[in-house]
Amino acid sequence: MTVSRKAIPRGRRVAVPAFFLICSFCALFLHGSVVNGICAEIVDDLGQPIKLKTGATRIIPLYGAFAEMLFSIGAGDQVIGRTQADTFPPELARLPSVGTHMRPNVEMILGLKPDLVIQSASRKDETPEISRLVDSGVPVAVFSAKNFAEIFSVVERLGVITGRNSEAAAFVRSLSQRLERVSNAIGAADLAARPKVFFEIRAEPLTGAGRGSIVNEILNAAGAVNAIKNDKAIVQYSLEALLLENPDYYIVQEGPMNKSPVPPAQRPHYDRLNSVRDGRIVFADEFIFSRPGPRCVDAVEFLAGKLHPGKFVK
Amino acid sequence: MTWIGFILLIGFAAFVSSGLGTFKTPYDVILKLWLSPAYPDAAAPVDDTVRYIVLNVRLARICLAFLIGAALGLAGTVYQGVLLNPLADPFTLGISTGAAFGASLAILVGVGSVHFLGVSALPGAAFAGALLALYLVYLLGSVDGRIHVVTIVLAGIIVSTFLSAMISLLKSLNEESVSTIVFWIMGSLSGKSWTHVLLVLPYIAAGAVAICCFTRELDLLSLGDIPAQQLGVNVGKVRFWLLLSASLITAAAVAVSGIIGFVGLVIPHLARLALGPRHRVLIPAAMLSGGLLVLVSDSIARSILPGGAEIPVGVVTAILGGPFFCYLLLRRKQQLRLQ
Amino acid sequence: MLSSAPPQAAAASAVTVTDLRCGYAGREVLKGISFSAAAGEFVGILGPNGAGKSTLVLALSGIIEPASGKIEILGTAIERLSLKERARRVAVLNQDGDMRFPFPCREVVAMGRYPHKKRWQMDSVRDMEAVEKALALTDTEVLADRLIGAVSGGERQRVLMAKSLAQESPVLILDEATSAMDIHRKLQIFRVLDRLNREDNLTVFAVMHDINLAALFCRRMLFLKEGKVEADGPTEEVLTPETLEAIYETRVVVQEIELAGKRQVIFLP
Repeated sequence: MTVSRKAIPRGRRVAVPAFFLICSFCALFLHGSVVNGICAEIVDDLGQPIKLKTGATRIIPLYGAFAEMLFSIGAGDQVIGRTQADTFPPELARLPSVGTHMRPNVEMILGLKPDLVIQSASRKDETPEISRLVDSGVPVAVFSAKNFAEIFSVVERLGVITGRNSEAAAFVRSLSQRLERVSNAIGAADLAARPKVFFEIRAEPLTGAGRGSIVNEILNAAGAVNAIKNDKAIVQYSLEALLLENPDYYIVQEGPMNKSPVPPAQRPHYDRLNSVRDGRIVFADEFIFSRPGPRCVDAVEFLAGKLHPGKFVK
Repeated sequence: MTWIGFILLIGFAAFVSSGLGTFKTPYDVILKLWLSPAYPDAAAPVDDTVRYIVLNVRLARICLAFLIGAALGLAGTVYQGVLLNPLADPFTLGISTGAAFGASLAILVGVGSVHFLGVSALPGAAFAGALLALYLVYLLGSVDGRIHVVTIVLAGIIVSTFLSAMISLLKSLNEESVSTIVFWIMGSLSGKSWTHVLLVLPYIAAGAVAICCFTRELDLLSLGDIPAQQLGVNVGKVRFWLLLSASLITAAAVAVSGIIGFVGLVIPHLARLALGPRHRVLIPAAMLSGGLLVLVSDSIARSILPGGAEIPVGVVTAILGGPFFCYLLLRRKQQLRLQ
Repeated sequence: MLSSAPPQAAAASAVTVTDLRCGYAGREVLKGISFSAAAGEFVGILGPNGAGKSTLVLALSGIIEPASGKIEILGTAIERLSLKERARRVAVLNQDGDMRFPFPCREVVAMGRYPHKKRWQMDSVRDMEAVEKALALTDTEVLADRLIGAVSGGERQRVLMAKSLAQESPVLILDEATSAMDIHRKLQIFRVLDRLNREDNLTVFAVMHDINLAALFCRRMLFLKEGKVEADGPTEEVLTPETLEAIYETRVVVQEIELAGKRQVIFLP
């Protein structure tokens, strides 16, 4: 009947192998629960049940990654709106925009008569618009994915709610196969041999991705070790610590959080870093690396190709 | 003697601070490194990265923190002296909001990758924003080219409020960059180098010299405009140059460090309380103690959290300065009750 | 115009005002004033409220520029004097001397030395002597080390008086400077002024409302009314019932006080 995130064990380095287990669990839960999209029920990441008489056909995802998931499982034509910043896949860009992820416009959303709104949040009161929509009778599913297992779980639940279980399962399968291909190619190298990587979220003040972030998952899956040992997702980091850690690779995120950063080689003190001296600098697209969604698998492949050039070729 | 003691205290604070950081360095190593510019042999056995971190990262930052603090202390003293307002601080005339506006605009437009000598265009944009705010305040607050004290403070409030609204607009237009702007505004000395020190030093030095030319006039201004002018002070000119110098110093400091509050407000009071209101004593005292406060605050900001994480230095100065300001306020209330 | 200044100083003019017109932003307050005071005169400037007394002080001390007419200080047109030069010639003691920061009184008095000093010049022995002398003259030595914010209003005014004396300008203008003092302090200050006036040939202009105090010390009186000079001359000539009744529009009695050799005025209800 119900797929719950609670059933999923959270793992870091075990994410990829664990994923298969999860998939089989999910399949168990899913089977027979939906009869051709007549009745759909899921539990979102806030633990609230979302019940629809029929499968959702007019969906507004308020976070780009969810739109990507919906398009990937063939539910693209069930999407009727988007937020301003979300323009991938290109078909999405043609849909009307209903404000931004942080501040969606309730009036415009209601005007589009959606039968499901999907938001990304870890708390219900993160955005007041959620409860306003719920009060207006629009079901709002809230998801918050922080690792691959959770991303896959969201895909599967979206499959349930849109009546596209088999497509969702197939998509999850293909994603996990790609991740497996990467991990096979890199080989079971021991942790010590993995390159140490610093992922810059923001240049000023210097902020890096900590162990609680999706980026950390991507780094692990791509066969790297995060230079930051902090368990938070976003860590303001001192230059001194960076110089002492002296990572093998320096990844600079480019996007709204780090708009046109100064190239590391041009910054003061950075000439001391081995990665900068030897040109082991990677520029990464924020939309792919820092938004937990299907494209994080692209990020893994991209990064694995950079970090292990001899072993993995996409 | 007191002065020498104070300078030694600052040197000691700098020495202690240069031993703080993610990487724990024993103080005998620090001592060797401090001696190394004069005696290169002293630091011979020290690891190269450690040497680099202490001399080029920590000491540059310590120097910059001291300079920024000195600048804010100095500017605050001048603002309070010229505007005859105990609540005036370096940000009264909207310089901080102007700088924040310039920086926000630069962050959103994305000129961050434009750089010069390893310094991004951000400080330049912030400096330009501060000058813009200052010019607007001057246009609004001057009558026939003369600065009127009450009018200019009002103009500062108006321009500040307006630019704050503009910053909010910029943020709401691009909410994904909000955190970058917020972090810039909170102020940080992270990742700064000797280049930054050299960048702000000319402004602060020139401004300090210009201000020191007017210490006697600053004293006389507290008699009031007309009595000061009757004593031969060119009040209009003096006020203009003092405010301009203090503002340029503030703009340079804010452009590099972001907004570090409380220093420019509390330090002048503290110095006046300890040494009296004579500006030829007050100004060097405010510079030294402002420098010390930011030096200590930044040392705390960068070393209190484990694992290389930092907290904004402005938060530390506010935490250190806030209770003191409450004390001043209570004292003042007590005085009022006595009268 | 007659002057009762000592004959040896009569030749040098301290202040000459010719057809002065000035005011504030479109409102003309002084409407053509002319007078001349020789060095060593003690002039009382009197008149009803709004007559233009304070405006005259501001014009004489160069704070506001004349719209037309001329002011000469010790033979030089006021606009040709630098600010410091002017301050070396004219000192002003104002009515209200509130100070924002708690300077020690001695520092406040030393501020009077400002026009005598170059930018980086430290206090000279000469400066310190002038300060001590001014403190002694105003009987404020005991206040010297106290903070200006911690003394009473009358004491503060005496400290500011000392500041003006330390300025050592040959012309001193008082603008209602003793209004807040008790009669003893008023007399004390005016005795000092009288002494400096006689001994050092200090030219004094005292703007005041207290016509009887003026009658005791001023040897010349200048009455202003509605921006014009209504009466001007030696005290004994100007202080008559006819003049005063025309100016104040009240009935008055003027009495000779034999003991003081001065006139006093009583306004009738």
